[in-house]
Amino acid sequence: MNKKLDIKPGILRLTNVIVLLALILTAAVTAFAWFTNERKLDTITKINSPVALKIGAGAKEDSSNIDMGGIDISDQSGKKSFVFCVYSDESVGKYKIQLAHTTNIAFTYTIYAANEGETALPDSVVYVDESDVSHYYTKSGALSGGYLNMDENTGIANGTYHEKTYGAYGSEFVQKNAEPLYWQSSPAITPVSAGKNFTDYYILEIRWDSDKVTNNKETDMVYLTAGMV
Amino acid sequence: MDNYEHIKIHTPKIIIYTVCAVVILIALLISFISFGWFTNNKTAGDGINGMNATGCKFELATAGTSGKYDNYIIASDGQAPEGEIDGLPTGNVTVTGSGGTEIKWLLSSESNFGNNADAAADGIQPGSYGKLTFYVVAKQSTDLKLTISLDTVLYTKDAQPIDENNDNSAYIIPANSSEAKLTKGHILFFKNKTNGVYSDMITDSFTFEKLGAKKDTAYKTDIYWIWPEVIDQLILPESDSLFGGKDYSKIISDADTQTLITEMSADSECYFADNSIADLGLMLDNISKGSADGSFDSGYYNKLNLKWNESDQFIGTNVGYIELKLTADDSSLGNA
Repeated sequence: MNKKLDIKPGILRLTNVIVLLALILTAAVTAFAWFTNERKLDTITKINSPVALKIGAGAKEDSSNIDMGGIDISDQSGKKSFVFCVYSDESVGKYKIQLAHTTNIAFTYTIYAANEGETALPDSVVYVDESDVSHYYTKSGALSGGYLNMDENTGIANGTYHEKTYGAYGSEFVQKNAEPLYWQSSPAITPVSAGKNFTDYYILEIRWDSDKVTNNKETDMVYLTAGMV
Repeated sequence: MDNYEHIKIHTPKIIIYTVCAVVILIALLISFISFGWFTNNKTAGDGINGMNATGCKFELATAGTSGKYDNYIIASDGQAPEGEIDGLPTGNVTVTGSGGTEIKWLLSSESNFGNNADAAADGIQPGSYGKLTFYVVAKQSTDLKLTISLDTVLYTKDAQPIDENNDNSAYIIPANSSEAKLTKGHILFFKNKTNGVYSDMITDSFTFEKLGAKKDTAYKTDIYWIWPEVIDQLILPESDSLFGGKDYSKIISDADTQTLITEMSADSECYFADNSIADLGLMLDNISKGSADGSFDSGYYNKLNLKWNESDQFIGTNVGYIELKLTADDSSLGNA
């Protein structure tokens, strides 16, 4: 026996009425839309993540791993190197690297562009990551740039940026070696892989003349910044 | 045949017919009432012209080309204007009307939301800004007073081009979510722009008024949108010395800054992802007085800038697409 025969007539009647009501409602709603005095425009766009330029340690690890503490000037090489990187998850046009430091210790600071290599070479700088894996970086040329406020004769800061640094606090109240020197790369750097996400590695080399420095004497503050231009 | 007989015997057709007749009558009555309600008092001079198919005193028009992400939304394409309309630009133009009361906004290099198809622009991010142009077309010679409201709908990054089987409703971010609130507070709309400074912020809606509008004439209207890069551009006084040497400047008028500060204090969750900033009102007041004021505290300024940037990061990480709906409503109807 066909299943349709089991449907009770009462249900059919109900269904008919519901269908009719639905049709009429549809008609009423259509009429509403037709006569409404509301008009709309609609558009849609994509939301992009803010472009963030970041500084990391070697192996693109967190910048807290750039540990510049404990330079031992009895080290015969007369220098110590630190790996850092500038990276972004987005495409970045150009950026500048800035280095600011005080001048208590007679260090010279140089930033080199660096390449990551597979194996250790004689002049490699080794960075050991958080998983105890060694990464090797070699220098590929010093970054061009210069100090913005260095007094050529003394090698310490002149007054050019005093007001920017200290505001109305007069230079007579600031110890001369505490006044920071500002170094800036110039011209602006184009990322190695332009047009997409990138990681550019650098080596900050700190050199000293063992005649001019002594251990445990002083502390310097060093700031590294990178900014899009 | 058994089946047919069964129904025939037990269906009291007379009842169904009666119900149908009554319901159709009611429906007709509803239609007439609707018509009467939604069709305005016609001026005597309009004559039979007042009874046009759409019964609306105005239409909206847009000019340009399709948007880059138009296939992510449901709205009709609109239609080319019928007959001569003064004031519309030459080129591709669409209007609302019998082709649809909700149409897709046409865009150009001058008028877009970072989404015009023919430009390198590919979406918006902090630092983006622009203008969106539309036209109100009068369909009668009358005074036009419209309420223009702006609504946004957010989608996650999973949204995709739609087809007859899939729309993006599954990817809508709820309006009461942090993402939606922050986006509302960070992407701002304005009615005016003078010398790079935006003014007359649109919080939800504004009034379009054209007294003595002429039939079949288009009236151009611009709205401006900005996604400020840093909060200084919103809060510091226009001429503050802290803008010196920066590659950005004050972006909204000082009057709008006062409005915004009130909003920020009242609805801080729309502006700062971290909604537990103590003394927010105090900090905003302090910053808005400017760096020349003796009480200025750069600590406040740095803190709020950081919070603002974190919020931008939150929006950029969690929101994929933003849909903007502009609704024009004949507000004179309320008094009709």
